[in-house]
Amino acid sequence: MNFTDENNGRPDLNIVDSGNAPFNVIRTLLFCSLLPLSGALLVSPSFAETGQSEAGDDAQKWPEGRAALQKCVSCHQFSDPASNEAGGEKDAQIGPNLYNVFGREIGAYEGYEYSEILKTVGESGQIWDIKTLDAYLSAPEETFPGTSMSFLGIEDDLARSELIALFMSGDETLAEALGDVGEDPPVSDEILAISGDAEYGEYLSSSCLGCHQADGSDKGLPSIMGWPEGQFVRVMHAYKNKSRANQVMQQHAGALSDEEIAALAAYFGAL
Amino acid sequence: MKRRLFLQSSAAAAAALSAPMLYAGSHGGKPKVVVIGGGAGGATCARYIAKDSDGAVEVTLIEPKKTYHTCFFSNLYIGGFRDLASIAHSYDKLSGEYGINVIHDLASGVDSAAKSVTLKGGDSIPYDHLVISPGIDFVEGSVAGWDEAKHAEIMPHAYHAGAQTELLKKQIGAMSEGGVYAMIAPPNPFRCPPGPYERVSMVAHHLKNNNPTAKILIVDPKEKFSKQALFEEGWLKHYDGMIERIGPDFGGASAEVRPDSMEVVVDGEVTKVDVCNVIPAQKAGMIAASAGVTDDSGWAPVDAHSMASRANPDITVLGDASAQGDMPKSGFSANSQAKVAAMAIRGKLTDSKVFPAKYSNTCWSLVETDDGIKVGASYEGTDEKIAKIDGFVSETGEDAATRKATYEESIGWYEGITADMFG
Repeated sequence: MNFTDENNGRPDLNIVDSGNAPFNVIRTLLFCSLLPLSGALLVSPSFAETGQSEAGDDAQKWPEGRAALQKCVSCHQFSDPASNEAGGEKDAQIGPNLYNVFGREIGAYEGYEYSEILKTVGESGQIWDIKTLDAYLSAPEETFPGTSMSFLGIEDDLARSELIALFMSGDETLAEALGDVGEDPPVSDEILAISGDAEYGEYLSSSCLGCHQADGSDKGLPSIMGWPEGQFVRVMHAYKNKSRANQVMQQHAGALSDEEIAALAAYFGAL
Repeated sequence: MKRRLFLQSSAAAAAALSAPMLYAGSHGGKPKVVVIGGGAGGATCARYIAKDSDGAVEVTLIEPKKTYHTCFFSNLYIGGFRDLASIAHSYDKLSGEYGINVIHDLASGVDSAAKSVTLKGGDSIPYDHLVISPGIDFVEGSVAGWDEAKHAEIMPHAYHAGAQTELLKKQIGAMSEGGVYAMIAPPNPFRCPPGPYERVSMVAHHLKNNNPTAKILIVDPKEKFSKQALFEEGWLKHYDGMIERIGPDFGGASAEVRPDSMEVVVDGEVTKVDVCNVIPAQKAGMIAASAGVTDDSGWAPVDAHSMASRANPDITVLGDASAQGDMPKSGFSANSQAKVAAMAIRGKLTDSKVFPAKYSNTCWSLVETDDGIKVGASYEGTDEKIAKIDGFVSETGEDAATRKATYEESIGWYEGITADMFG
């Protein structure tokens, strides 16, 4: 798949309507949200019908995108790398930091080991704009075969469009949306220091594999393979103490001791 | 981490410690495990033993069907949310990639003294350890007027997925305008506690869109049923006025069916119906009784630490057929039990390490498009039974996004459990 960069690397806000539904929706959303910024008053006829995008109703803005954002933060952070310790615990995520991802060169977050395909695409000068994000988020593996992002994609046009609009919205709106999503509470150094028994983890993992794919693919449920151990431990404890919402995961994590969570982190982390 | 001594709680492991490799070579060569039944219990157990023993155990799987249709998600086929091919699975990977000897035949008998399984085709297969995971059979005479051999083609049960499910769907599609779909619901315990009520939801979904004046009549011997508040909330919301349920106080426990005239008789009142879905009382699949591991209840009591039969330690019973304690009879439960059993059996045959039994279950049900609900729990093995630790259930009044996410989660689960069963 080849994306032509028509705007010399700038965010592609004025793409021509290709009859593709998501672009229409994104444009509709953008004309509303970016009105004060862009000053481009190209109000589409459908704008009046998208009540959820009305300004001044921030808490209701882009609910589908906010729900989709929840999926991103399982593996990505969105924080200013300048405020992180380089290579530190906070940066040790499953996927690259998505701080200011919109408009960024593809495969270019420093310090993240990208798949060959994303590196190649990035080196060809392509950036994360509406087209590339829309294609990648709808079907990651089809768009960039060999990507290391084990994510099924977001089929729903509105959710995908609203998510991209969130990426484009700049710091404030995204930060507010991320605030709703919430960060996992920290776990104690003592818990993080537990060295997991991977052999025990292998047995315990058989319970996880009743739902999650053993090959690390995403067929509707997130991949749980190859996570940094600390991240795995934090997420499982977030389910265990019910600060993450999913009931099934709360039940599974709730039935595991600190040592058992460490054992799973050790086993899955090594895969 | 200080490594704990896990072995003390497991009887099977204690036996393995005192007599390692006892079973190797009792028939010559590698220890042999024979698994009867290729569903969520049997297929998973066979796969895990083959996968984790690195060829040290010879695994044979006996399953009559070459194409297996999962009972879970078969209601979604009835509702038009899945096609039949999407719930059909083959055993090619289990034989090709895992080296399991898959025999498509019916296990007709077990000689537990000689430790061999007799096949309908005449062969006899020796075992060192036998796993029985046959699912359910129906209790004869439990629904007055209905005989499986004579009437299953007229009044289908559709509680073994496949041809029966297809037949039921066809019948529902051919209902007369404003006609009646009746379900004779089963008494406890039975396979998939929310199953009959998810099915009613799926039938209602179909009728609402294709035959909106049609009615659904549930004749139920039980006072209560699984996820009842959630189902009833959904029925009121989506299918108001379509579904009627007659409980035991009004004759629900003593219904009679008349297949020749397509009538259902409840408390003396005769109702003419277009479709009658008879789900009779259930018991362990008959091979469990022939192996001598069932008790008077019709189910097979097992040790909760290993799923080994209480009547015969060389036989493991999995899934619906087992009487284990608190777990519901579900595909998820059978899959969970199979992994505990696979570990215990490997421990016994190859002296591999045995950890304490942990079990879990979740049952998702679809009420209407994007309106999914779930119930689940975690369990542990105690000396008495598989005991529930903690559980959850969807709440009434949840928002649409939560219900949609629950449905989507169930699709991910289906992909996961079927990969865990069939490779």
